[in-house]
Amino acid sequence: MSTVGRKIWLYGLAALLTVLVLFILARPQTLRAIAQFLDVGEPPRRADYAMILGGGVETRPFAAASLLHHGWVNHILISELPLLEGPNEAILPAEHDLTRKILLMLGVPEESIILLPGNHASTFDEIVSLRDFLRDHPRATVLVVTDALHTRRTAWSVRRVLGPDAKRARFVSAVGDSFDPQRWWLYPDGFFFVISEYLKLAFYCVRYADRTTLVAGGFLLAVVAALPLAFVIARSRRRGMAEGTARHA
Amino acid sequence: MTGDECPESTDTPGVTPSPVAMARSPVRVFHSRAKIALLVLVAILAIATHVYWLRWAAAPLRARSLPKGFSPTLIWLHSGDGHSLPGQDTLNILVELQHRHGAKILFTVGRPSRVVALGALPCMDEVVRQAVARKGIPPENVIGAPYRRGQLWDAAEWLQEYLKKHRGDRVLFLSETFAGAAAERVFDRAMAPDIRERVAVFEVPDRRFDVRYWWRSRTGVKAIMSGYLFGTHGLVVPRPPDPPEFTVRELLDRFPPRVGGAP
Repeated sequence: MSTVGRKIWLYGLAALLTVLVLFILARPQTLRAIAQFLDVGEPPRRADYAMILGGGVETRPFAAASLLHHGWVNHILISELPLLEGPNEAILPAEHDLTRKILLMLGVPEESIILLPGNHASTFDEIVSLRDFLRDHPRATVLVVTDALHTRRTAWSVRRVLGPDAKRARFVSAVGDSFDPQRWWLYPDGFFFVISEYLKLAFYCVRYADRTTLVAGGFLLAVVAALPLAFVIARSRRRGMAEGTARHA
Repeated sequence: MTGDECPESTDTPGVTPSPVAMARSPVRVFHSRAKIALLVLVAILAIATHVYWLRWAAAPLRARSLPKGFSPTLIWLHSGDGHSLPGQDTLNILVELQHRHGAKILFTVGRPSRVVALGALPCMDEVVRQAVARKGIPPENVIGAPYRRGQLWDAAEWLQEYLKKHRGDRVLFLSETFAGAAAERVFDRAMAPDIRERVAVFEVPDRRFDVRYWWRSRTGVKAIMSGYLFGTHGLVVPRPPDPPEFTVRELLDRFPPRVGGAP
């Protein structure tokens, strides 16, 4: 086969493989599995506290209230989320105030609600506050309540921040109502949630990983990146030698 | 002496160069070095000009400039989740625009808020009414659209019918930063051309980052990411299905009672 013919054949094969991979990825089962990977939520177990992570005021407080009313936990932890606007411009209450109000309206006693103070800008910040709280309560266990597809990143953060104490936390999924997780790709919120969770997970692995993991990961990445480069250099050298032999002959 | 025995002797007249010498000939070395130099040059250029191409990367997400002389009679706010407003600092922008154009404020809601239904928050049009009243705008200038469950597409269809009845009205839609182009695409598809030309989009600036330097702030990066993700999805699925709906009771019954009673 001529060089041009071989190239056409190779490009054709690559295109076919790409179409095949896209077809496999686009199958509903595959798309569902992509979302399910993010959900590491478990059925509730008896714990001392339920912690509501910020960002889901329409569903998460309801799940936490359900846990308390059904006897799974004694108290509910909420993290302070400062107002984004100035006090004069704000027309809505801060999210933790709203969450507290919702819990009270759902019949949760005032004394069962505990505020974790701090400037929590991300999930990671909230888990750091949880670690501080658990240090002060060495025998306490906690159910972390968040959206199902947010549980993997949360679990990663908990393992990273709490270390051996991570086994004191379990993850309970609240029902999400902005999209159907079985058909997430059809909904703008679902598409955004799944894709951005993967991106955030990758970001967390780089930004918040411990130094050893980061160095090992960086080394592995460098090796993986260097392999094709080494292959190209070796092939180029071989080709050069072959040309030289041909000319020599 | 042959070339195989003495590679260094390639410049000796009358002696054929060896394969090894050919493989590492000065021309080949020059070519590979030129390639590396080109790559380095491209990298340096990319870093040196990052301000321009990063700004250019955000351009497809931005709303078109307002038509010259466009003076709205309605400023349209849409709350997708029913309990928040688009963007940051929306109230100040709203008041400023209202004072500049003397327009009324139209408020639509995407889906019912459980928080509002529970009574933890008043209806959002009422929240806006109270907030603008504190800034000197009469509350009757806020028009709350009758509630229609759905997405921005459904709100656009409702507005189309409204504009057919109110022929003199021109609407300025307030969108989040980097979400303007996506909103324009929805209006392009959902509205008839003669109605569409009476609707313009204005992106509410987010005070947490400068749109010209979005990459310097985490919020800016998140805004670009969400702009691209929502924008891409809108291109493929312009009219998504309605999300599932759960009552407060269904959410409170989410977990079974613990066997053995209260702790």
